[in-house]
Amino acid sequence: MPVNAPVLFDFIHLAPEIILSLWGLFVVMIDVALLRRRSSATRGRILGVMSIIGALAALASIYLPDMMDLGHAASNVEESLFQGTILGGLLVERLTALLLILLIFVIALSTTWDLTEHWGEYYALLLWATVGMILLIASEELLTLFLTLEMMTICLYIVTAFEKDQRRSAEGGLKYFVYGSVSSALFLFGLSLLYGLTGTTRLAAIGLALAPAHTSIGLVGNVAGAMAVLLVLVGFGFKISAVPFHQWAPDAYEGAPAPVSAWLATGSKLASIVALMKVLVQALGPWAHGVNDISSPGWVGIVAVISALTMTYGNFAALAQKNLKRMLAYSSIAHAGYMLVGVLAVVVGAGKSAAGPVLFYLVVYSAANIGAFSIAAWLYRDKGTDQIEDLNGLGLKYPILGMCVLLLMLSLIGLPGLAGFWGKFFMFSEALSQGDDRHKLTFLWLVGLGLMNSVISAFYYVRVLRAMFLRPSTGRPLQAPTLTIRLAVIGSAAVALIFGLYPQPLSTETDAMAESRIFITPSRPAELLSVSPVRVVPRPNASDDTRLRAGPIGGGPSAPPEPTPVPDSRAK
Amino acid sequence: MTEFFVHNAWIVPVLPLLGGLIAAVGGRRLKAYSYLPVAVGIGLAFLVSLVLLTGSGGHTQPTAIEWIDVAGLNVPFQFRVDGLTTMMLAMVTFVATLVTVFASGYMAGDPGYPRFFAIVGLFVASMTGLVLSSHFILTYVFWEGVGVCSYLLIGFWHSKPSAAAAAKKAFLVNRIGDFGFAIALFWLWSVCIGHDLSYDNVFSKANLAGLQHHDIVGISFLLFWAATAKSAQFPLYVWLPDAMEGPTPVSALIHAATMVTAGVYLIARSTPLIVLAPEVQASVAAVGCFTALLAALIALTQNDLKRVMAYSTVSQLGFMFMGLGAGVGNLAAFAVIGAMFHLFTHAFFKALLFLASGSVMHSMGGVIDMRRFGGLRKRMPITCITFALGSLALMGIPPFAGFWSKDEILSSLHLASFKSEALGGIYPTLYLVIYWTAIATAALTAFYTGRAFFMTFFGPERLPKPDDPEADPADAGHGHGDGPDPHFGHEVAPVMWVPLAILAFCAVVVGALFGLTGWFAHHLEHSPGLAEPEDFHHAFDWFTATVSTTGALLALGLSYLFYAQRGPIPARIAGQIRPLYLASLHKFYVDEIYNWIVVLPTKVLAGAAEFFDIVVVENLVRLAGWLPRVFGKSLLAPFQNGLIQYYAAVTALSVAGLLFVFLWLSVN
Repeated sequence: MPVNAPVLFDFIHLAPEIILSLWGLFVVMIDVALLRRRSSATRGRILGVMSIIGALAALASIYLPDMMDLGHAASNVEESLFQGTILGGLLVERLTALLLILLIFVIALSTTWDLTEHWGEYYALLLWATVGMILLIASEELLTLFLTLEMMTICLYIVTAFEKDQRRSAEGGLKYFVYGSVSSALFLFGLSLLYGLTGTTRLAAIGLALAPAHTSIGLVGNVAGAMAVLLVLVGFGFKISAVPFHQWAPDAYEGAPAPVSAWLATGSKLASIVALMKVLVQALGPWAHGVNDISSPGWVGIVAVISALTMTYGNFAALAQKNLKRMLAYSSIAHAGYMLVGVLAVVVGAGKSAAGPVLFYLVVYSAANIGAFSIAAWLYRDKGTDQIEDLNGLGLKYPILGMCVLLLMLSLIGLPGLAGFWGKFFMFSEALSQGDDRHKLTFLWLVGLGLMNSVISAFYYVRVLRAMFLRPSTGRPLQAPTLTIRLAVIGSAAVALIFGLYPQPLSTETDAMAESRIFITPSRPAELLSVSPVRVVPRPNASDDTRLRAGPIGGGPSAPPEPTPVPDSRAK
Repeated sequence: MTEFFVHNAWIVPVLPLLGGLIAAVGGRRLKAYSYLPVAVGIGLAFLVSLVLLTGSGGHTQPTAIEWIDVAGLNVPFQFRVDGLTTMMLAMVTFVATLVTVFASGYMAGDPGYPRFFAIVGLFVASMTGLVLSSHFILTYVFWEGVGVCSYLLIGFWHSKPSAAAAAKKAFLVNRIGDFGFAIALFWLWSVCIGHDLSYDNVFSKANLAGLQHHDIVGISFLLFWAATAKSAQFPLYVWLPDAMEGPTPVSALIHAATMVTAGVYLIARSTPLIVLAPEVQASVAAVGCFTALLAALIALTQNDLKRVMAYSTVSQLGFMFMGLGAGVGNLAAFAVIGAMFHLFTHAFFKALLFLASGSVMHSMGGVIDMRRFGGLRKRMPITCITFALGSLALMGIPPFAGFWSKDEILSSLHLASFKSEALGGIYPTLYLVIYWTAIATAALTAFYTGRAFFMTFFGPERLPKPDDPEADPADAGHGHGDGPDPHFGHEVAPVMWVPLAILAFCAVVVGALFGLTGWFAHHLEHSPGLAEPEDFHHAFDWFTATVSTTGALLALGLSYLFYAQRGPIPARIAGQIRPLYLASLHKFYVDEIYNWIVVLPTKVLAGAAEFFDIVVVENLVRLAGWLPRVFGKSLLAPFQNGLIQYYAAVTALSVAGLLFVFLWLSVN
């Protein structure tokens, strides 16, 4: 089947995205049409259940083609859609499932208190943000990547500001929006530079275009390239809240309703890190570093600096926080720093084994954060505050939940026997085993710093536990949590414990996922690699002098370099 | 069905674990029935073990479950079913079943009743896991597991200071051994093919051929070090006599029959490795011999019945190590099988002796000092008979169980003194000395066992006085008022004497049944390193059997003369060699010496460390806590000032800054 002729049948691979998009519209319509007269709380609950049903339907649709045995016949050609701008595969499939499960928890948490009266729009925006995340993971091309990134982010700007009667919510949303706009502009500028330098927007093709000339010298003397890389890093740095592009995060996390903060910390970060990994490995790999020295021109040095800054700053700043959500925001900044070490290992080693641990870490981190933010939701629902001291004495009053929070916090610290330990262990040990001697020193420093930071992080995570178990309860104790909060906390603690005792299944799974898509898939047709699907075509008499148009196949701006044929490692 | 169980051997540890969990969770509801799930779990595990014992042909390896798999370290949950394993499994679960039944009566009324059985369930799960595992690291995991259970059970009555201290001592001494085990594992990991620590790989011919001699010696020595702690050998045996502070069923199960044999099992399992290091073998035999002699000498003068048994256990474990160490050249399989056979028979008769002691103690209201009771044979006939049968087995009188296994160890030592001539040096002399010492120790064994038996059951009848400070009449079963003292001295309930009778039967027959027929050796053949070589032929060693039996009988007769009538002779002898007598009574002052050499310096060091901690470390930590706060307030807070235009400016500046860094890197 020719790749450039999508047939209706191919859309079955977009089933989750399509279902989520339409379901969002559906939810809005139901809200304004059928449920108009109901109270806000009732609508919140009904629509919440409906949205969960939609997410479940999307989850089911991922596996539908397999179950009905429809998919394979149609998608032997790489499961690529729209001229290869979107690719499916194990990575996308599993991460979509993960995102949907996280989404279900976020929606369930949203029903715990009456945070808005515009429930239809709220849930629709959550669903659409998820569409953006899924497509971001799947995108293989710069423009698609930018559009999906914006789709995700714009939805999140709005939901952040959704608790309208709270000043800080609106403030946080606005800051997030302004900051996001600035970094998006910079990001887009970086992308356009990349396009100008290589003449293509496909990730794999960019990598190939850069490869022959630059592999050996990295970015020596290439100011334009350096600028492009830096600006791309600004865009992603903003999304994953890496220092020094993190400043929106504490304000937005604190201002947003707790479920939205959870979604910012998990879904958005997860999708962005995977996309960052793809861009760095597939497109910018040749610019990583010179052959002679890792600190020689190349972006590895820059990313290493950002990673070191991020984890150190995040942890130190978290130490001083008294607000639970703000503390979690800084902790999520610190975790982004750890994960950047893993991302670096993927790039430097070019070993597929290194990408699996990053995904493992993401899964474990996301689950733990859902649990942590549901505690924040519980606190806010009952007391309307986020102060850690309001947790005093909670562990003794609710022993089961207390134990779960204990497990979660210890897992976030990375204590052995819990999933967080294996996340750090796998990632750091892969980092130490990557590359040759000249890389080792850099990684040794980074991993050493990461371990030191883990120790520091123990201080503020244990503060939560100290409040829960060692402080006498002051004032009115919290009321019993709702079922959804209970489920979220217990579920995430179970993830931490089960994968802590038996990490093998998850790590096998994440390794397989990493294998499938993070790296350039060898069996891709040659034309896909060389051709830009989007070309700048001058128009004779128009006020705006360029427009974007889908380009024809064949004959890119420069002669297409031949991809090296490598046997398909994923052959079934 | 056999096939199913062989491939799902994990069922064996899981059943007692489940029982323990039920007892732990449902203890409040089950109350006096808390023993039931554990006893059922262990009993079922015994049945499965029996199926494995009779049904497994040779060595099978059930499917492994992946557990940890990272670069260079792969630890699967992998079990193996071979001769050595099935033998240990059957023995452990059998003894454990009987002990659990006994304990259900013995522990009745204790406030910690459910807790006791929960830990026993956990212990049996760990112990069966230990002998099933097919990977050094997995073995280590279960090794620690049994250690923890032992700690918990010794300190079961943790409100009693002596029990708490004994538990701590056992734990610390065992840590010393675990340290050796851990180092051995690290060493093995770094030298083995593919860093694979599964038994199959470590003991494969290719791997053993690739090891340097110093690696083999070092690793074997460290494994032996680990074994000395768990199996109570000199110099790390000191914890075992103190461990008698735990409930008596625990002493029977853990500190006599099963857990203390873990070290012997580990060395037997590592036979293919250790056989390549004759130096280590000789030291194993020498240490075992020294321990056996030392413990037997101490046992001569102890007045606490359970302590006599404890030292006797240490001494018998010493015999097993002598057997393990005698495997010179092609003697290895014969010697190790002999040691394992002694382990096997010892489990039955020592568990019996402990349970019988426990039944005496139970009946005497918690008094265990042999000077305070005597002549109990009429009041407790069943206990007396079973104790007698167990004692005969321990003494090594034919045809009781102990004779057959002890004889195998002695004759392998005898053979070793000839075989080691090929090695030259001092080996032949060494083994000959060990051989004669062992025979002398066997006679000593007969003497102190006879002494304990006669002091308890013979002579004029004496019972503890009701106002005895240690005696608690409420503990002593239910009085019927038929005697001078209604509180003490009844035969125990059937739930307690039936296990005694079963064990006594085993103590009589297992030796001849398994040893004489050769079943035992044949069964163990399928384990690595335990197949007897073609060129090895062994005839029954009449010389050794005659000498050791004569010695034992003489010693037994002597003890009858001395103690059955409570004559004045022992006191006179003790008076004549008073220094020696006192040394033995005070356990040769080993504890005191350790206290001066190890414990006190450690305490001084700990005090210094505490001082350092309080003065230096704590202030450093305070500084570390103070710095970020100041740092955050004065330096970072201005950056996080909540002004969005400021944030945008910082971003732009950061890009510029990073670009500058970048260009600077390019120039250099």
